[in-house]
Amino acid sequence: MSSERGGREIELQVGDEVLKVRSGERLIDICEHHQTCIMFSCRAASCGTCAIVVEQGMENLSPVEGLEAIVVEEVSEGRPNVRLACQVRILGSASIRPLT
Amino acid sequence: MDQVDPVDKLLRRQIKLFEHAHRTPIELKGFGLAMKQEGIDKSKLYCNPDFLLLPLRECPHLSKLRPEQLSVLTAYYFARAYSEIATSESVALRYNMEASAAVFPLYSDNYMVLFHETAEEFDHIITFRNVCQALLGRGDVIGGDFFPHLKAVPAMLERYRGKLCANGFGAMYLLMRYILNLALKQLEGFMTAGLDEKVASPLALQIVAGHAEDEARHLTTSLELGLGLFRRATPRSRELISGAMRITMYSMIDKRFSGDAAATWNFETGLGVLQRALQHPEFADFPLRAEELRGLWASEGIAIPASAEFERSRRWIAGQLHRLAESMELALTPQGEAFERYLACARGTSSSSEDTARRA
Ligand code: FES
Repeated sequence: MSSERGGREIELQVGDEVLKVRSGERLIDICEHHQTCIMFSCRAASCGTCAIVVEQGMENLSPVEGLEAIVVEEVSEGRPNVRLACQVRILGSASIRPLT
Repeated sequence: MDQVDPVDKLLRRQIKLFEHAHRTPIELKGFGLAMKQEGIDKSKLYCNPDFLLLPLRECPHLSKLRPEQLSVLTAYYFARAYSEIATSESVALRYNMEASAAVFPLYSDNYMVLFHETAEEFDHIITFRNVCQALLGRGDVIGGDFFPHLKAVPAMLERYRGKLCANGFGAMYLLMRYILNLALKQLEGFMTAGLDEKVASPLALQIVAGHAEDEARHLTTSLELGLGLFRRATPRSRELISGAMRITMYSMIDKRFSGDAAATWNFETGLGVLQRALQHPEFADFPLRAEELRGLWASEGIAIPASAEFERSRRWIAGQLHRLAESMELALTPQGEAFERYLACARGTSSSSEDTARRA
């Protein structure tokens, strides 16, 4: 995670917690560092364990790429604003919570 | 409302992921063959030296290693890790197809999920065989005889063959494969973490990344398909599988959550790799042998540091085991310090300061 630090400081709400993080960081690294409520397993857009709902700030997340779209389609069951924490970079303030 | 069977849902996703992954070629063989041609590139590192389980900064001799010597040492470690991974995959080859044939119609889409994974395991084994040839000078370091602990899985499966229903046999195999996957992912996940791309062997990085991508998919198949088949198994089979998994998980917890952080990581592996590396011509002027170094570390109280990465990895594995136990409704009875540490890691209440480095 250290190599990715250096962006501007932003606020990220994960569940009920508000974290101060650096823009550009991968969400899974942030969650791991802060030991938050987001679970993860494969770290590679293959399992869907880390699925999150973005309540605010979807526009502040890196775009969907690669395998993420497939897994989101399977795990979201039609719910909107679902992303995978292992694929997302936080580029500005946002509020997220685990999908389940 | 129609309910989609969770097993069918998982298999549908795995097929889509496989198709996506293979639309652009991700075969690893080419990287292995390129490495075979190149041999050890002594200007590069093959894994993060912090991963080596050796007191590289603390030991007066190891702290003076030249970059070329460090390169050889990391190359040997890289080859050692992948020969173990390939050996474990050689177990998967056989049982993937047996488990698949037991529960799915031949060549059905579902059958093909495990077939695809088998084909990928072959690709990996060929790759890692070439890696071993390139870095260690021999490709025959893959197979059960070199890693006797990996024989435990086939022995267990054979013991339960005939005692389990078809779904139960598939579940037992896949859940055992999941436990092996966890150990391998933990090993692989560390190797190049934090390694500066400027000093890293590009081929090594490509192999780690390519393999990790396949294994991520295999990890999901192992867990979710394993759990799905477990739920479909007969009550008697479920009871047998639960008993076997409980024993396997206890033994993993005892080993991985020992208070002695470096013991968890198999200190002997680090020393064994060093021992081999010291025979390389690049180490001709090195003043001590591995056993003498070990004696020196013991007499000087030189310890192998436990890193933050280590703690991170341990938290990850605790989370996975916890999830497995919950999904299988396995009541694990708390016992001993290792179990307490595992629970603290799984609940996110552990602190890295409780890890103690191992005295050599
Ligand atoms: S951790 Fe598996 S999809 Fe993100």
